[in-house]
Amino acid sequence: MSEWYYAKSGSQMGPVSKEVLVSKISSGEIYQSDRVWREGMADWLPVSNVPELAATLRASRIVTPNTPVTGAVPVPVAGPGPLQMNTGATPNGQIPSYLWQSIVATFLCCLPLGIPAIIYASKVDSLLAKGDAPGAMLASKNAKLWCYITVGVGLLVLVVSLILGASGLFAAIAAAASPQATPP
Amino acid sequence: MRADRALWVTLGVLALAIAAFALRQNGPSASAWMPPCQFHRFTGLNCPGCGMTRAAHAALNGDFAKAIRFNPVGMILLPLASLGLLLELTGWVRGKPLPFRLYLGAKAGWGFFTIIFCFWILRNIPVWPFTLLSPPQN
Repeated sequence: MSEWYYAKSGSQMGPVSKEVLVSKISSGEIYQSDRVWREGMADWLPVSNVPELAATLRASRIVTPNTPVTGAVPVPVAGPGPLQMNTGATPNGQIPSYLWQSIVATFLCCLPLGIPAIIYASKVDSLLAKGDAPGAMLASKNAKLWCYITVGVGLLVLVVSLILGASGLFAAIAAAASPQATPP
Repeated sequence: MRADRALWVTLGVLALAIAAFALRQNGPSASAWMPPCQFHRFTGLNCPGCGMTRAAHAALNGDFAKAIRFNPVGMILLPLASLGLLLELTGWVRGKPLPFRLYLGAKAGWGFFTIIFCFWILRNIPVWPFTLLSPPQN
């Protein structure tokens, strides 16, 4: 079963199975205008523009009321609901590049580990410019991963330093709280 | 508006503010709790971020010339990237991206990478004028 990705609030979500995706669309969690992508698709498309999803959705709308709790006669819903057509949409911005995150991490954590993050972040935008959404997606994932690695190792170093230099920390806080205090 | 995301961002900003205040008052060399660059410690080489703590200390005390001297590339790129990150974080907390973002085009990332990578190499060449790029020993 192919794995689906969807863009929500500017960030990429997934992968989820087609069943999960369809249930999210049915429940209204994913709008008809939200863009989705799976391997094999050339570009991100709004839900309403993906034929295979539209067909499954129509089917599920008839199937869903078929499980009544009260035993009422199922009323088939005729036709698809109002579709929000989203034409002329570009996928730009739907796949986060993590470029700013990588640069901040590189300089704040003082680690060369930020370099791969910047490389992958740069790849996201240049692959998107070429229209390679799957490649951009992969690069985006890697950029995010390397950002986490950089920040994680940076924090680890900080925590280890804190433990080793706990006495130094207390002295620093005391000095910061009373900068005018002079030792006797 | 996502309350959990707002909380995380608030905590992060608060932690940074406390660190900045302590750094401003004490300076990096006085405190054992501000770890020096581990890359520099084990290799003796300067990484692209080396000197940033000292540069931040100088900048927080208003001495921007000294800050630029410690890490020229970082002092330009870090504020720029922080602005870009701030806009994206705002959209993230809001649950909806802002209508504008700091997007400098597909080539900007490679430009930044080239600048940072060249800076990394050049600041390790122990010959003038490249020594101007490495943080002065004090």
